[in-house]
Amino acid sequence: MTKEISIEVKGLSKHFPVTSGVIFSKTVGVVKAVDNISFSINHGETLGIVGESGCGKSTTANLVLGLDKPTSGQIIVQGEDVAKLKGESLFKFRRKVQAVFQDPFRSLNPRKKIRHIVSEPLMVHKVGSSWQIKQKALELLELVGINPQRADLYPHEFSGGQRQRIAIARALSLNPSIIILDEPVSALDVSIQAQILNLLMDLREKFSLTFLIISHDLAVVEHVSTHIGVMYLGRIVELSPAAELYKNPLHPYTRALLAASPVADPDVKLKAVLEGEVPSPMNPPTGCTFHPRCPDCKPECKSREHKMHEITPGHFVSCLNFSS
Amino acid sequence: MQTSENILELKGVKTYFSTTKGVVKAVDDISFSIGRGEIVGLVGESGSGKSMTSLSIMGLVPQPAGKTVAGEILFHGEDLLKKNDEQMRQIRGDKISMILQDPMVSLNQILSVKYQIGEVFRYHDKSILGSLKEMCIGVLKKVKVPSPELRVNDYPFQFSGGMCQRTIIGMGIANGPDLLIADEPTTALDVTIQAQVLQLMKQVQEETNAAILMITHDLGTVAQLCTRVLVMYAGRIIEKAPVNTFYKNPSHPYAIGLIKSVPVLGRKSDRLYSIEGQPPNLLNPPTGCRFAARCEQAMPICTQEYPPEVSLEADHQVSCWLFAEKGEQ
Repeated sequence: MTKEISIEVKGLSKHFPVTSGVIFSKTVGVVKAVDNISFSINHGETLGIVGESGCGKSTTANLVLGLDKPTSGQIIVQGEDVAKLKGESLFKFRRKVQAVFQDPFRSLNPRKKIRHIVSEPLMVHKVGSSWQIKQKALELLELVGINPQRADLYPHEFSGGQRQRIAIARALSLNPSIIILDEPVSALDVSIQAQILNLLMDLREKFSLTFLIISHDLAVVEHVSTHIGVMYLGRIVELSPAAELYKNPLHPYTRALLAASPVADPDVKLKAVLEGEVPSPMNPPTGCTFHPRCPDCKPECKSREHKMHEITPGHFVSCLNFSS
Repeated sequence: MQTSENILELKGVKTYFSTTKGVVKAVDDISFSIGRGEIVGLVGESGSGKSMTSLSIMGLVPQPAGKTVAGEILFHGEDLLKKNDEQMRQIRGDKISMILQDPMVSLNQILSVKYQIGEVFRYHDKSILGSLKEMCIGVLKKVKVPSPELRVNDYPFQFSGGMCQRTIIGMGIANGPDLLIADEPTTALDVTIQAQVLQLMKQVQEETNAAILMITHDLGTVAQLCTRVLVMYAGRIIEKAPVNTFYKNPSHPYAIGLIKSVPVLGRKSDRLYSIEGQPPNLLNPPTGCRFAARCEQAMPICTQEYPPEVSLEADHQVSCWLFAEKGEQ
C-alpha cells in the first residue's frame, strides 16, 4: 500500500528579529522559534507535536497554515509550496487546510450568531446558494453534536466544550482534507476534553482527515496521534510512531517529559525531576540545546550539533548517545 | 474523624451570589475538615465552586454580589465568618495563606521581588526579627530560586513562570502558616516545571507541617501530592475519600466517570470514556442530585430529593442514592 504524503516539511526555520529602540531601531538578536525541522504526515495520519511553552509548536502550526512566512525551508502541502502561495492560489489553499484554535472563548466572534459563524467560510468561498449554505450550516452543527435549533444563539450562550464543537464545525465547513489543531482541548475540563477528543477521532474516520495536533499534554497527544514529534527550543528532538514513543523513548528530554507527567494513580510516584528551566530561545546553548539540563550529557554534546538519526524504521532521534 | 486535631472545619457553608437573574448558588451546603499536616485535594470542573470555597475560607468572596450566607468556618475552633476585617487581615498571610493560579498575574510587575516578599513580614510586624533583605533571601533560598542574593532585587518580569510560582510559594510559607490554600498552583506551568513545583510543595509541607488544601482540576496532580480527596460537582461535595480509595474504588458515578475520562499515558484505547452532557446551571440547580441528568444509573428519586451523605468507611463518604438505599436496608 503506497501512502500519499499530505504535508511535508523540509528544513523549516522561522527566526524572529529582536529589535531595540523606537526611532532608530536596530536588530539586536534573533529568536529561533523554529530551527531546521523536518517531518512529513501521510494522508489520514495524525502527527502530534508536544513540547513546553516557547518551544515553537504554535509557530510551526502558523507556518503550515500559511499565516506566517518561513525564514527558510519548504512546506509542501499536497504538492504545493505554502510559502510561495499568493492571492488566488492562497485563497484556494485555505479551502483545503483549516484550523481549530485553543481558546473557544476568543476564536468565535461574540457578535455573530453561531449559524453565521459556521457558514462564514462557505460565504467567503461562495459555495452554493444562500439557501444551500443555510442548510449546510445546520447539518454541520448537527454533525458536531449541537442541536440545530440553537443555531440562532450567540457564542456566549454556549459552554466551553460546545464552543469548541462550533469551532470544529466551522473548520469542517469547506470539506478540508487537513485540519491543524492548536491545543484543541487545553482550555476544557476533563470530562468535556474526552468528548471533544472522541468527536475529533470520529470525524477523522468519517472524512478521512489528516490532523496536525499541537499540545503540551503528552497523554492527549498520545491518545489521538499516530505519530508524535517532541520539540525542544525550536527543534524536533524525537519523532516516532505514537506507541513506539511511549514504549521506547530515546531522547533524554522525551524521557523527562514522560516522567514528569503526573499520572492519575497514587501508586505511580513522580520519577526523577528534570533540573533547571528552558533556556531563552534568543540565546540558546551551543551544541545540543538540551545539554545544560541533560542527565546523560557528554562533553561533545556542548559543541557538536546533532542531526536526526533513524534508530528503528520511522523512529528518529537527535541525540549523540544514539548516533554511531 | 480526628476532631481534636482538625485545624479547619467547614460546616454547611453556603456562598451565594445575587445577580440580576436570580441567586447563583456557587457553594451550596458543604462540610469538610482538614487535619494538621494533611494535604487535601479539592477536585472539580470549572464552575463547580472550588475556588469560591477557598475564597469563602479566606473571607475574600467578591463583594457585594457574593456572600457566605450560612454555615461555620472553624479555624482552630474559631469561626472565621464572625471575624471583622481587621482580624481577618491578621490571619491572612500569617496563619492561613494562599497560592493563586497564575504566577505572572499574582505578583505586581512593577514592584521588586524583595518589596513584595517583604510585605508579608511588614504586615505582620515581623520585620523586627532581623534585616528584611536577609529574610527575603532566606525565603528565596527555601524555595530554591537560583542565586537568591542577586535575584532578590529583581522584578517579577525578570523571573520565569516557575520562579514566580516558587516566589509565591515562598511568600505563602514565610510566616509559617498552619494552612496553605493552593488554588491551581501548577495549571499555568509547563510539565517539567510543574513536576519541580509539586516536589517543592511536598518538601515544604514536610518541613513546615502545614496543612495544604490543594484546589485543582488535574487528577494527576492530586494522585501525586494529596492524602485525601474531596470531589465537588455543581457547588456540592459529592465524595470524600482517601487518595488510594478514590483512585482504586471510587463510588459516586461522577467520580467514576471523571477518573475514566482522563487519557492515561501508555494505556491507549480506541475511545475515551466521556460523561455526556453539561454541568447544570447554578442559577436554578435541580432540586435532586445535581448529577442526575448526566448519570447513567439515575433513579426516579434522584431528581426529587438531594441524597444524604453516607459513610461507606470511616473516612469515605459519598452523597448518592445508590448508596443511601443500601444504607437503609
